[in-house]
Amino acid sequence: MSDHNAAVTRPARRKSLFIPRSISLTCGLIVLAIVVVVALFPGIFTHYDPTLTDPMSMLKAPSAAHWFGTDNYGRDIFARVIYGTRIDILIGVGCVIVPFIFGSLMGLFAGYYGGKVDAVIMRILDVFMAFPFLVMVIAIVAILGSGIRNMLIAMWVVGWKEYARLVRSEVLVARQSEYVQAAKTMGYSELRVILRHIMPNVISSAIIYGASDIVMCMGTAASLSYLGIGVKPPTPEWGAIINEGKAFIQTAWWITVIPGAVLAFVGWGFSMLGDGLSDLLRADGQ
Amino acid sequence: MENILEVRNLKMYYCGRRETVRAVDDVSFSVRAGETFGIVGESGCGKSTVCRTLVQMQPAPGKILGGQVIYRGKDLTSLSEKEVRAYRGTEIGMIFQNPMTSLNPVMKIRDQIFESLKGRGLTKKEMLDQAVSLLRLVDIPDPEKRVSEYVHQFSGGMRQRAMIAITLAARPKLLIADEPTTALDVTIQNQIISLIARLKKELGMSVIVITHDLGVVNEMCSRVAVMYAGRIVETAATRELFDSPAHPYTKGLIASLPRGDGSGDSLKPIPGAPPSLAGEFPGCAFADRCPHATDRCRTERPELRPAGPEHFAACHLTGGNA
Amino acid sequence: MDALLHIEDLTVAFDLKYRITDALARRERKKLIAVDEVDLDLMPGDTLGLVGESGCGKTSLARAIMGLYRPSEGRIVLGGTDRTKLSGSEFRRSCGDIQMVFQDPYSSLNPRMTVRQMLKEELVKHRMCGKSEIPGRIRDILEMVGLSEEHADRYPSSFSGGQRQRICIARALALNPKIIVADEPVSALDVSIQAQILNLFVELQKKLNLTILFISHDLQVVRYISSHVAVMYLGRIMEYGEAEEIFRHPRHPYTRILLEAAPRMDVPVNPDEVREIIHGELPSPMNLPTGCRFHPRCPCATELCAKEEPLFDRSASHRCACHYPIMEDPDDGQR
Repeated sequence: MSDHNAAVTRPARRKSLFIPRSISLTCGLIVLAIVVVVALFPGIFTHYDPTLTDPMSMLKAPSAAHWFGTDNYGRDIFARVIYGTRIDILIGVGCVIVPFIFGSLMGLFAGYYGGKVDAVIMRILDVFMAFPFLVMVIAIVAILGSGIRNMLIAMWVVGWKEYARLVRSEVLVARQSEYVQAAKTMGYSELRVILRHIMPNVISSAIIYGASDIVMCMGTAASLSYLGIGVKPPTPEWGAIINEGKAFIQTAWWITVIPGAVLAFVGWGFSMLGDGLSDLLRADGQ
Repeated sequence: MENILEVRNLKMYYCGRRETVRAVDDVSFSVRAGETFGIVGESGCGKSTVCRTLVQMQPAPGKILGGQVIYRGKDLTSLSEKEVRAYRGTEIGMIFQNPMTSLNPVMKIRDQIFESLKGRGLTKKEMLDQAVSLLRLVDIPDPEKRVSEYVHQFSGGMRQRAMIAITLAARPKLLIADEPTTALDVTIQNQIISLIARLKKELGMSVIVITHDLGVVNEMCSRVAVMYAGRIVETAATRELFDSPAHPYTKGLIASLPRGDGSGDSLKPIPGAPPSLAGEFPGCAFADRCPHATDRCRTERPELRPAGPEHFAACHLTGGNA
Repeated sequence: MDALLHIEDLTVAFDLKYRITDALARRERKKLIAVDEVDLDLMPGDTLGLVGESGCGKTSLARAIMGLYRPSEGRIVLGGTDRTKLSGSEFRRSCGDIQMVFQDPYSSLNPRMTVRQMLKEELVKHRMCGKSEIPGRIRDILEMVGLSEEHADRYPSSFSGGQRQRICIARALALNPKIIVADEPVSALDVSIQAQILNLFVELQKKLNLTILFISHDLQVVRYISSHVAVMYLGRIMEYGEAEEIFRHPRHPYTRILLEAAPRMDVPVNPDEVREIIHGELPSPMNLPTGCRFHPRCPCATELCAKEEPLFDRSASHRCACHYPIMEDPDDGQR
């Protein structure tokens, strides 16, 4: 009885994502906004063509003309970073959205039905857990061949397991709760109970994980490009740019360092977003 | 009779950034040596917080903003955190509602008792003997064996007994029991109530019982204070309180309980819900739910005033000046 | 009069975890029998109070009636059909006839649905009324439980415990059920709020002619609200009869002990007197005593009690499963 605090009637407050109440959420949203605008309209930020080579200005240090300098083909790094944003964001989001949906559904079913369904899904998951993430991705890309599409497929195959695990553990708790029991006594179908009554209450941790997973996927994509099995040149992609710059690291540090810093900045933004989201969603559920 | 504890105008507020929660607001009461004193109230009224505040165990960001806690002639509020620690456990023992969360799950009962026996220069053997006799004291069957078990191996009632044994190891002179029977079944509840009554007599302790259950108050306490919204609204001898309650809140509480006589008279609930402690009440905190409230009740805070022999109520309408 | 809900030989058993080590040690598969061959009849317009300590199976019984647990044996007959035999879709359609109010108002409402969304979903799914009538119907239901329309668009987190329990009752009433199963609906509430909810139950029962199965561990609450009472101990009904009869002349020693052990405030007690009424703890339901399940704790048990399980006459109006029922009048229901 005394677990519950004083019964206080609070007026309903509309919870809006657009009135962030935490610093991390604000930072995250600002970074997200910048990234989205850059990805949608790269042309308004630079007049350079990211793939246009210019033998006259090779390996130029950052200057007023070339803000981030140029690479060994004379391509403007700033333009390459700007145009790369779209690809990197597409990879980040694309790598997350499919595993998020598929993994969450698997987690929902495994947790709700338990028994054999749970056993089968969890054993499959164990197989994927047993391999190190990057090794598995590299192996799949090696089988399918490099390229963005194959890289995405590889990330999907290995990415869903975390979502399934997160959601399942929350479902195990939620399915015991009285509101789920109540929904069953209302005569709702099982699918309705799962999707309408359980899902909204268990999905928040998967969403939060998803936000930070975008960062990790972008990192992985960059590493794959760096290893030369991701995005094919001359497509501007941050990891690929860093990879190309590595040969000139002693003479032209800007080719690797600046895109690296941009990658780190966007990663930090998404982490902040995940952090802020977690505060918001957790508070909302109570 | 001598007072073992006197609390005078104790104030403990949670001072947050946005709001101040008046969890304990000008509370005064006294506990006599050898008696069982009850503090009764609904959830969130501050009854547990008062008792934690006595030994400066109020949860952060709580701050004692005034008043005195005089335990056997010594003001505990004037002591430092370190000095108060010497009183916790050894002088003032506490037992809680849920033994499962307040006992250490990875320590044997034996070792938890040893913790409070350390520093007395006892040998291992003597400590073990003491532990066994403590378990025997609280009626745990087969104490020699059970003393080396863990909490989870005990049933609900036995856990509560074990917690009492551990608390008693330090021989406190004042035992604070925070909802000691709330989580228990009726028959087990009766056993624990009897146990506390017996131990009090045998060990000459004083007891403070915190509860929401008027029935438990009746069974255990000789005097009782009723709390509402962080304040004591009435205090009296138990029978006096039930036979002639003076504060409208106490009356309302009693009228809310089904009578055991099967008369089938319909219950008279108190309308509304308790206020948030974050608010400020210039007047009586109960005024909004009180059927007799006047303008004065909303503007002027009532002090505890006599309503009978050793009977005080914080209501403007008692004491003949209604 | 025919019973509205007829429960016959209802048994609910749960399989316990069977580990590989158990198989290797050739241990038997163990079952926890939560409800053991229970017979109960619920007459129309009746309030049946089901009393018992924790672990006595009262919640399992309620959940089996609601179809949340599958009974291993027995029949649950509601309006001529056995609910244990219905197919999935038939069962879902019949859910409107019997509805449940849960114990914990804090966990029994979906935190992410407003009151209106919740009620609307029910009304639409069970086709209770046309689309245009829904807002009016929601207003009526909320008013019936003492809330108003302004509460409809809020989330559960903005309500107090008492208000939440009102919402739970509203949710149960929205489908016009014949029977409400209330599992400890007031035990999580404060005293002053508890009385509000109890009165609401009484008022609704009169107004809607509801039949209520009211489960509680609090005898005074049960006495206040019930017309009949069943006392349960370790999965079995020990005593059943009219409420006043049970409280004034309890026949089963267990009922009597329950009545005496419960702390009450209306009888003067000397707090310094040690008054222990019953010794011993509840046995584990996995390891039931032989004979009468209460005999290890019973003050009047004999050898017969340890050997033979007492059964009661299922047709008597006051049934008591005891070899030695207390027949003399105690002190007229008072302690």
